[in-house]
Amino acid sequence: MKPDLINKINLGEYVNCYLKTNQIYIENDAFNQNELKLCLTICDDEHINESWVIDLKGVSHYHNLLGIAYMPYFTIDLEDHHPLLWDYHYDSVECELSGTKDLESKQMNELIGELARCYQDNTYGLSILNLIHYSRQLRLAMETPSSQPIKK
Amino acid sequence: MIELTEGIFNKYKVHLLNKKIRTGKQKGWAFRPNAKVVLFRNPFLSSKTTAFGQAYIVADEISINASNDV
Repeated sequence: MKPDLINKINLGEYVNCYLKTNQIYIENDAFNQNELKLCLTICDDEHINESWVIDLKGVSHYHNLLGIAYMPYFTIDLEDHHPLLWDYHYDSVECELSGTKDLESKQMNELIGELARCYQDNTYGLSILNLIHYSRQLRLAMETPSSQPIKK
Repeated sequence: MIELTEGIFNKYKVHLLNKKIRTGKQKGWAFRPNAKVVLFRNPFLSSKTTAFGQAYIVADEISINASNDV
């Protein structure tokens, strides 16, 4: 069941509001206890002024936490299945591409482009590994005969 | 992901070799089957297809509650 806050956001109750972080508490105890507490205010210029607390236990990764310091027209989603969680939910595979030496330079670029596009489409652009970002490294790895296997 | 890219590999006649699977057990504490993600989005910073403007937190337990401290 989705929390009330997310239901309210989906119903459009906060369309003209902005989200602001009041406090961020982080408690870290050598991987035994990674806790994060976000105190948020949602308000508009007239009627709405609400405070919400997001408690997170067993935090393993966070990104752009200060990006929510002030956020108009925001949405919040809570997801159990998301490309960002693949690394935590599933086994990972390390492998090597063979046959790339026979490709022409243009074909190699196209291959990297298609792989990146496929990856982007299926992960909604969200993943710890971004193939476009690593495309140069990929290209070098493909061109070097004694290259190390490409991870992930 | 490998299944999804199989068509591309066939098209360029390249093959995947040396598959080394790292199982959840081998990942140790990094394997978290109960992990969830909370995503904060803003149309000015990001759409669903761009990662960099989004804020997100991955955690095992996430609870969102109203607070009275205004």
